[in-house]
Amino acid sequence: MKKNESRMESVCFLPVKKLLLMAKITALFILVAFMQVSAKSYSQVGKIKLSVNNATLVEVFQQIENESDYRFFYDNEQVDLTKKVTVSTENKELSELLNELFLDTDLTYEMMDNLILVKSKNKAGDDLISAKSEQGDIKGKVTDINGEPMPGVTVVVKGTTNGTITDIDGSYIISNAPEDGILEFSFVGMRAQEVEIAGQSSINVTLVEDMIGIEEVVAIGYGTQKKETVTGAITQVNTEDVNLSPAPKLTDGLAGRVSGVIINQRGGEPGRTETEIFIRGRSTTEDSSPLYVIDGIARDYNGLDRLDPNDIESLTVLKDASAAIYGARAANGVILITTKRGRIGKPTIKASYNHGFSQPTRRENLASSAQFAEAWNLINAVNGLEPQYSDEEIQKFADGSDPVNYPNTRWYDVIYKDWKHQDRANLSVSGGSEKVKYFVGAGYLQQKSPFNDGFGYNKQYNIRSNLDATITPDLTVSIDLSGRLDDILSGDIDYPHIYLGYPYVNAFWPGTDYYTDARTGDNVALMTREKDYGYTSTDRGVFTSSLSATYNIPGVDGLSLAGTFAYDYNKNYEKDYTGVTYIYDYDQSSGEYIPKMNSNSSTPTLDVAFLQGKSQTANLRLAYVKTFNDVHNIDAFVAYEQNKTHIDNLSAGRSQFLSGAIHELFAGTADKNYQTNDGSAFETARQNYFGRIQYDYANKYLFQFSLRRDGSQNFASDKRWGWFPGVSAGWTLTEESFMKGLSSLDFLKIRASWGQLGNDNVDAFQYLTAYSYGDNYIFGGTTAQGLVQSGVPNPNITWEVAETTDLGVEARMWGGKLGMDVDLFKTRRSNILATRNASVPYYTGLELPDENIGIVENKGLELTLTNRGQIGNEIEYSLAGNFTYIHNEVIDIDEAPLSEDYQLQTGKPIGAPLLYEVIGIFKDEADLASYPSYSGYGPGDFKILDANDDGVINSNDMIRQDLSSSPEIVFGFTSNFQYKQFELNLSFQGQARVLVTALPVFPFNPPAFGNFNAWLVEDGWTLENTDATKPKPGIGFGVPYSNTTFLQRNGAFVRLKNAELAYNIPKSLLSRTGISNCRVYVSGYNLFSIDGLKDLGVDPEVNSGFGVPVMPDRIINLGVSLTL
Amino acid sequence: MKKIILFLLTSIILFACNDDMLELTPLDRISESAVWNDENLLQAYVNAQYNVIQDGFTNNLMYYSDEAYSQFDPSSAFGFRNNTLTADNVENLYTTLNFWETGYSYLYNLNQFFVNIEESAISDDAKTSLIAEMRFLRAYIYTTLLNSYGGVPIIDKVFDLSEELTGVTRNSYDEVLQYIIDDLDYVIQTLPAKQTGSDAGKASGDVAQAMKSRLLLYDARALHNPTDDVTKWQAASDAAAELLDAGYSLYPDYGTLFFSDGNSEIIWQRYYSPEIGHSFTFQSSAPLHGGWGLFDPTQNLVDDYEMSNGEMPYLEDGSVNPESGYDPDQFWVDRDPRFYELVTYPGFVFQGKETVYYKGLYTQDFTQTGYYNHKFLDPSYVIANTGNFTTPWIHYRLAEIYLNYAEAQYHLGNEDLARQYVNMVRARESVDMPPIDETGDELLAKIYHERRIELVYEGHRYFDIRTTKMAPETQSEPLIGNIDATETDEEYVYQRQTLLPGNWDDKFYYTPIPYSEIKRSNGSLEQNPGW
Repeated sequence: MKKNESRMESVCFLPVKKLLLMAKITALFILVAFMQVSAKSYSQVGKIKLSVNNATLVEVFQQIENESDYRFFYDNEQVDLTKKVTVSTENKELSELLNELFLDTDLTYEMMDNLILVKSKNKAGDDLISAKSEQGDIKGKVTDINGEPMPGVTVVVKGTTNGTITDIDGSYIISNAPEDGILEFSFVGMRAQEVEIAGQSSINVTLVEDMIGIEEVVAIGYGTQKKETVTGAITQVNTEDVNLSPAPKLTDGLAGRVSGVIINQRGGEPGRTETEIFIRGRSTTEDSSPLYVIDGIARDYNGLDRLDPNDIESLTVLKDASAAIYGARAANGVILITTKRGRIGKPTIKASYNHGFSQPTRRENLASSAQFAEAWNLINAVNGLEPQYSDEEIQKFADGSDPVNYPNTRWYDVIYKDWKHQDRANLSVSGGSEKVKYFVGAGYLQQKSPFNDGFGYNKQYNIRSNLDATITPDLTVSIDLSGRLDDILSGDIDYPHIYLGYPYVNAFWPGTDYYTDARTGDNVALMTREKDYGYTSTDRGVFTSSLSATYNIPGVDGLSLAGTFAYDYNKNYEKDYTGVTYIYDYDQSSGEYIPKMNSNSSTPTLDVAFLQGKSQTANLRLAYVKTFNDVHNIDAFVAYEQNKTHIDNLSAGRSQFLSGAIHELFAGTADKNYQTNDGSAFETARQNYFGRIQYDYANKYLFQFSLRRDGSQNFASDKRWGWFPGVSAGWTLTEESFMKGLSSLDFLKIRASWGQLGNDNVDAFQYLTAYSYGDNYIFGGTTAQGLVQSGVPNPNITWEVAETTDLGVEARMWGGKLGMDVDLFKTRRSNILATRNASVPYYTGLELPDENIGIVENKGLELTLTNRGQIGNEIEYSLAGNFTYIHNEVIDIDEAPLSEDYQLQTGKPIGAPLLYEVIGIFKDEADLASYPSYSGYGPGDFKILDANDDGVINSNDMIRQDLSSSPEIVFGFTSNFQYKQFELNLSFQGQARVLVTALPVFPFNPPAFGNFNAWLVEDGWTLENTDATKPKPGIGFGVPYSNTTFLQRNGAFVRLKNAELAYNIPKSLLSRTGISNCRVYVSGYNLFSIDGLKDLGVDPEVNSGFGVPVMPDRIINLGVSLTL
Repeated sequence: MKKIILFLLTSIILFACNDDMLELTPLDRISESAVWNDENLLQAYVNAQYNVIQDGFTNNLMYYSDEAYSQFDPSSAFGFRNNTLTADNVENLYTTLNFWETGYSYLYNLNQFFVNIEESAISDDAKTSLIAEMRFLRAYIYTTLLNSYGGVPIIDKVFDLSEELTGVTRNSYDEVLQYIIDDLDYVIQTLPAKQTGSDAGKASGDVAQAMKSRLLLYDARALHNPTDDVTKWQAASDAAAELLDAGYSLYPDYGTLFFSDGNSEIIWQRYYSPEIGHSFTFQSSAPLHGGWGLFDPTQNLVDDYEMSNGEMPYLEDGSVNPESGYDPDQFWVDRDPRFYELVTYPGFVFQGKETVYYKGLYTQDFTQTGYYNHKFLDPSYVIANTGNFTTPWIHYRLAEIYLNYAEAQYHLGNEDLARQYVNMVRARESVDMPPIDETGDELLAKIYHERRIELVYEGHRYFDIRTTKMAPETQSEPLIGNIDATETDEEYVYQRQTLLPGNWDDKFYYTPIPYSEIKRSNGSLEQNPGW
């Protein structure tokens, strides 16, 4: 059940005239009115100690008043308190006591905070308000589908202002309702209901959750808006959904759920995974990451990456001109994150615990030692050398008969655990009264080392406190504080050597735990198990705070002034330690293992780095929200915001430690030659003026305009300021009378937007000529200070501009069974900041700054379909699918002169690689002579397409590909099923039209470089198998290999991203425990995938371009969550 | 309450009304105006430019000729022998040979200096001295470019982003040579002959003279002097002669010469410190001594070491020289003493540990040639991959000048003088090889041979074989190793086999300009022939 506080407060229909009649008890009236306005609750559930003998109720009340803070209110004319009672209690709930006292009376009561209102039960109308009212009063109770009472539901006589709100028990009384009238019941997140009164005096209503959420409110940046009146391309995700994922990072759970958002987990070790997020594709050659705004403040990506998903209420993606309100930094799209806040009601305590087992989704299928030996022999044979291994030796590798001398070491198996563990625990308390609302949460995450006997870990502790206080009816203040500690320990692991590790070398001397030399100490088993080999410990602290206040300016209805001041602080203390480790030689004559210092380091060395960053953001907003004549809704504001950041760096190091016992600087050498220190600082500043006006006519004709003027320190003073407008409009056709006849169409809206957004995400001060210390040089044995110019200045540098247009249709049909959102969009990014390194000759010596060159266009389509319904009476389900097509095209960019047409980036997507196209393998000398070949190539090497047909294979034959590593098509499908106490959630993610670099870019040259993917020798060229599909081994540097189509694969995939099966323990079993809800579940992440990289053992989301990939994880998770 | 609100709002507005908040200055940088009027900062600017100088510890030119081999194909060294070097991948070569981008980016800094220094407020003396240092570095840059590419564009301006940047053409070899000589002559006249103390390692008159000596020697050789113009040899001789009696003397010990700081033979060396060190010592040490075992001397090189009696171990036809006393099974016995300072051999001891050769369980870092390098290795270091070895790199030393002088004198017809200077090198106390007495072509061959042995691994061979036009012959020889790869017993078995084929193409005299640069110039740069 979704509740929304702001909605409850904004709709308050007071039966004012009637109440004014109650002059007698004016004081009480105010109180009652107040009670009516707010949803009622009592948080101080006090225990009462009381002993009276044959006293009147009045006396009892007085005694309770003396004993406690409670105060009783009643109307002497209506209630008879003369009844005599005898009570004796040591320790009773007040409510329990009152229930007893009133047991045989015609009295009842209501509690609100410490006020107790006593009223008569049996009189018509029941309470003080209705006591004076006329006939036609209607009472009733509103519940949800579980039968739970719903407080705060708005009940209005249709077409009037006569209305009320249900109380804590879900009960309402409405007076003076015409017999032929209609009652409207509404609540945010629930489908509104209309009930004809038809003379009834009691109407009970059950509200059901809105399937699409007609009344859903979405965050739109500096405010919220009803979803039905939204005119931009905005998608909001409630983290209840995202939280179903056991992935430690929020963003990983988001994959496949939001149309227009491309999310790829690029893999990584615990605490250091990389997730790539692009909104509507890449649109600049530089950083295409969106802006992250957490609780109204732009906070960096790391902040999001490590946010506790349990703290997050919703996540909203602004994809079009709606992002223009963030002007200068909005061009890559904006992601708004809203954390949870307290709601009026008794405290809700939630606790959850998850234990996950994870493992890499794939392991590369590497060559065995026999395959390796054969490849080596082949290289020798091609070069006319004797074979390295005899057939007998290869046989020994293959059959494992001599594991000491002829092992087949599977380094992945030696290094990686089958399953590693992660734990997540969370606790939160939320609740509040109309004065103060609170959400307090704490979380703990631990991920253990993926390696056998590994020492690394990733721990995270976080705490959050969001408080809202109503100081006066016109003034509300919020204080949000959050803190996070990261404690990460990771080894100096040379990941490529897990891949490259020679299979014919043992990791340990057989039967011992003595490390072998492996390859002059590059023994990855040692690296992953011995902390002394080298580690990095990261101790990071993040503190964010914001203080905001909203003041409704008296005298002008709807005018308010709001301000926020946010202060964020983060620090990072990093220690890099390298110690001395030992590998062992085996003396065959004596049978002894002789330790030998690993050449990695001869002396313990420690480097420490300390960074602290401070960010201050302040904004002030004057807002006006008003409805005129019931139909003209205006919501407007003007605002100013500024931000300053300051970062300090400090680092120091020492080597030549006498002992490795203490890993602190003081323990290092006193010799100044082996001590280092450094420090610097960095500042940024921004100033922004902005405003927005939203207008709608009866939710039918919708209009929004925003304008922002931003100043960025990144540019020279005359290039610094920019205007960023955004305009959008919508038309809700279903509000038109001519559409009313279409009963199957519940909702239909068309909308359009246009905006100009900016991007200044480049290095600061590129407009200045400046110098920095560096490039020191040694004269006479001592270091002489150097000074270098920091690049060539570009005084003209200014914003990237994105001009974005969006056309959307939203529809819901058949009572919400089917929902559909379609968007067509086009974004033209111009003034792209890039360096002209393709066309500026090196002989100029210019170290190029970013310049405003280049234009890129993104065009595409987004489609979201939802379906909700029932199968039989027992199974409820909801389905949602989304599909996004993005065509990214470079319109203008710095191109290398004299390029062939097929090499140009223009017309192709950003990042489309330039590759030699492999069309086969040269069979033999005759084949080699029959087609142009790359200089030095022989039989068994790549046959490369002579693209320009000039008889020579050189870089002019490289062809710009039509696709890049960023997919053109992404899609997702989520489904939820409920059957009695069971829930099943499945979410799929997929992409297509994407290229991935599927193999590491190391030369395929086994003896020199190390192991290789076994796929390379399956049907590989040999002297016998000349009609092969793979090249011969022994490929060196510089020749076409890593830059060929051979390493590229179609990266299309569909994968079961998240799955969860949950069981809600029946309430009947929980009734005595005090637990209101208990959910146990098993969930999974990256459970399976359909793709074309299985034969390589490579995950399709990984891009090997930068070396050997660390695969993303598959996670199986067991969890339990409790609500008290 | 209202007062509090008013106060809060007012403070926010006051905080906001800071017009200058976007006028930030970098906190990690220094402004332009400060630099050009401060002698200390200008000196620092000049200091940084010294990093343009390449040395053999990071540019291992021994791989590119016939001195050393590593199966890891360092910086595409194999490209010269298996023909895979092209204008597209030339950027994989070590910087010394692929100096285009590095050289011109430093030239930008130098030109920036020359433009700004005129207006600088610093003293004239300081100005003159700094200009001379920068002109030395300019000479270094053009010399390196000239050696690699032949004539290159002379850039003497600071390009502006807004101007036309393409269309520059190459200057001729002679124009560039003259430009360098002018700079070096200025330096020789301006800077002190020697730099000492905390200035040791800086540009000096003698360093410029040594650079000029090598440059003019190359210029007089066959590649640049097809008509054998004697005036070129005279110039080369004159340049070398300036240093013969300039206070330098041969250091007695050929082994420790390379790590005895600032010894009498060194004209110019590059210093290192623990903070800015190199890792050559680690990389080249044998695996059993804790290193990576790179830079393995080839059999081609090992065979070229004379016996201690001055005889070559092998005759031209490949048979053992009967007069040499050479025993192929004990090839390490009675060789030129310099042999023992270059290679490891059975019974070789380093840091108290005997180098062991056997394939055993691991093969990867074990030598593919049968030898490990020993030159430049200072036994006082603990061998580990710490990258802070401080053995200095010697750019110029007297023995080279002697050999430069000998070669020039030979071409000037003074064979006695030529033999005299070669024999002075051979007579070094710890070397003490018998004097040579060859004449005519044989003498020239001996001079070349002496360079090969005396200056081995010091970055000369690659250029010597090109400028003398020996390369078609020497590079056509396959690279030979001496190892039986199939043997797995503890006993190491020597057996010759080819590691890389011989290969020569006349285009190899110069490296190609990167093809991408030809494109950037929009075709105005002319590619070297054959590429």
